[in-house]
Order: sequence, then C-alpha cells, then structure tokens
Amino acid sequence: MSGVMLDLMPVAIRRRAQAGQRLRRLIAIGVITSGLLIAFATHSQLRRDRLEESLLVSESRAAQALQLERQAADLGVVRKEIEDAMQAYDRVALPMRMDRMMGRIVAALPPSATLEHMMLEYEDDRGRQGDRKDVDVDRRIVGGISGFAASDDDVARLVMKLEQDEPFEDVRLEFTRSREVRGTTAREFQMTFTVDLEGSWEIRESNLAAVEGEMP
Amino acid sequence: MTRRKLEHGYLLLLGVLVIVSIVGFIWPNYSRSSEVSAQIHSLEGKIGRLEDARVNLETQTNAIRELDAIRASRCRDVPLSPQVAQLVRALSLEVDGDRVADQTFQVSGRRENVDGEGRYEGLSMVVELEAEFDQICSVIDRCAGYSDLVRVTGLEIGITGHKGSTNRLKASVAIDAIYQADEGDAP
Repeated sequence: MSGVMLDLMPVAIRRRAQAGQRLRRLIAIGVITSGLLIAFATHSQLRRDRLEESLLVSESRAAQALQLERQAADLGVVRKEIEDAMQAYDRVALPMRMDRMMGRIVAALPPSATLEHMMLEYEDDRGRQGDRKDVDVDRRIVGGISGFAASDDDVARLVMKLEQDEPFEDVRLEFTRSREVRGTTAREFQMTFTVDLEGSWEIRESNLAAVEGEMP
Repeated sequence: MTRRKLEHGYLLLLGVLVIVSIVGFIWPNYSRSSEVSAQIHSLEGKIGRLEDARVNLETQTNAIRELDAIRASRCRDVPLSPQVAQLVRALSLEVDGDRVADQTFQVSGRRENVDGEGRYEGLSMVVELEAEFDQICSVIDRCAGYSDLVRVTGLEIGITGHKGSTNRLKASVAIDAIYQADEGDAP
C-alpha cells in the first residue's frame, strides 16, 4: 500500500467546513472581546461609583474640618478682642486705691505729727505721647503733704518711713520751719513724693479707722 | 455579498464596538476615577487636620471661658455712656450739717482716648466736700466699689479753717467715669 492520502471530499463541502471553522473562530473572538469589554466596562463603572461615593464622604468630612477651623479662627478673634479689652482696662484702671495710699501715708506719721493738707494726683504721659500705641505710658501719682510735728526728728522719721515704703519714690522734704501750735513750739513741714503705678509693689488693706485720729 | 465580506464586516463591526466602548465608556470612567482619586487624596490632607481642628476649637473655647471668668472677677463694667446721674446718686452723701456740711458735684471735662487705643473715654468730675474724714473716705470707697469703672484721679484734703468745725475737713475728689468711646454720648 502506498502512503498517499486520497482526499475524496468534494471541494464545495471542504469550503463549507473551512467556512464553518472560520465562523466559529469569529464567534469565539466576538464572545471573548465582548466579555473583555463588559468586564472592563463593569470594572470602570464600579470603580468610578465607589470613588465618587468616597469623594462625597471625604468632602463632607473636609467641610466639617474646615468649619471647625473657621470656628476656631472666629474664637481666636474673640479671644484676642477680650485680651485687648482687658489690656485696655488695665491701662485705664488704677492699680491701687487712693484711700489705701492715704492710709499708708497716715500710718507712717509719727505720734506727734499732724497732717493739715494732703494732695494726691494721677498723671500720665499720654497727652505728651499722643496716640502712639507702641510706647509704654508712664503712669504715676504725684503727692504732697503738709502739717506739723513736735520736732525735726519726727519730720525726718516720717521722710525716712516714706522713703522705705516701696511705692513711694522721690520723697522730698520741701521745708521745715518753726510754728507755734496751741502755745507750744512745733515744726511745720511740707513734702512731696511720687508713686510709680507701673511698679510691682502691692498695696495692702489698711485700717482707715486708725487714720481718723491723725487728722485735725 | 460573499461570505468573506460578511466575515470582514463582522470583524470591522467588532473593532468599531471595541473602539466605541473604550472611547465612550471605559476610558472616561477610568479618567474620572483618576480625577476623583486625586481629589480624595487632597481632601485627606484636610481631613487629617480634623482632629487638630477639634483640639484647637476646644482649646480656644476653654481659653475664652477662663478669660471671661477672669474679666468678670477682675474688671468692672465699662458702660456705653458715662451715666452721670447714677454715679452722682451713688456717691451722694446725706448733708446733715454736722458730719457732712456740703457736697458739690461738678463735671470738669472729658478725657479722650484714655487707654491709648481709642477704646475708652472718660468724663472727669470733681466732688467737693466739707465733711468728716470717714465721710470723705466713704466717697472714695463708693467709687472703688461702684459697679462701673470709676477711677479716683485726684484727692486733696485739708482743714476747713472754720473755728468750731474741727472734725470737718475740706476735700476735693477728682474722678473719671470711664465709658466706651464709640457709643458714648454726652451725659
């Protein structure tokens, strides 16, 4: 037997068979391509939907963060306003009371001394420095007292006591001179002083009832 | 139409379908996803500060509460106007001819910009007294205890010089009634 294969299939039938094979391949290509397209389309749509949803959540949380930041900024402005108001208040209000200052002066008087006149006056440099905010305004109380004591020793003691008392500065004895009080020789005096209101000293409560007896 | 042409038409149609699907649907979806992803990434930076913002807000709230408490305890009210009538009524003593012989209130002027920032102004008044020492002190004490900010800026005390009135002194108490500059009107 020879090895030659005899093709007994008619040409028309072979062409139909080949056409059927090509059709199956085309159908397979179409199905695979359509499947891939559907898969990618579905994946892209799902991914887009998921991210859009995440974006909404993120925007909402970011808006909350921004709102909190805005609220904090607003509160910061309010806080600054309160601090400024308190600083302005401190610049205006006097850190001590005149009656306590007066009580302190009278408490420094020796037993033989009597005050006849006392003057305390607040001063600041605001008028001289205009409206400049960057300059610390020097605030002080200028005071003066006059009266009489039994001797110059008592007057000197009063000056020394005031000098040693922390708030009093520039204590100056203007004069002492002889004077007769109810038939007795006494020493009349007059002195001035200043009190620096920016100092860190503290005025303590004094008993003004005890002061009463010192005034004439 | 031959079978070949039908097959070519089919392949062409498939190609067109692929192109239309990619250009019209798949590519825009991925492109939009990429944009959204970038937006989410940028927003996450802000969201990361959410906790910081909460802490900052709480800190500011507490600070304001504390400041308000300090202000309430340390500072007196500063009214919109000087309210002279109420002040005079608060400082007025009973003139009995014995302990208090005379009391006079006089508005002496206006102090502008007392704080240097134009926030507060002051109405200056002088209270003239012929009274006993404790009565004079009571006027100063009333100023210090007044609910609105009133500062004593001057004090002058001396003997009267009248014979027979040894317990009475002549005093002049200068005060500033502080009020807010913007809304402050004349008394």
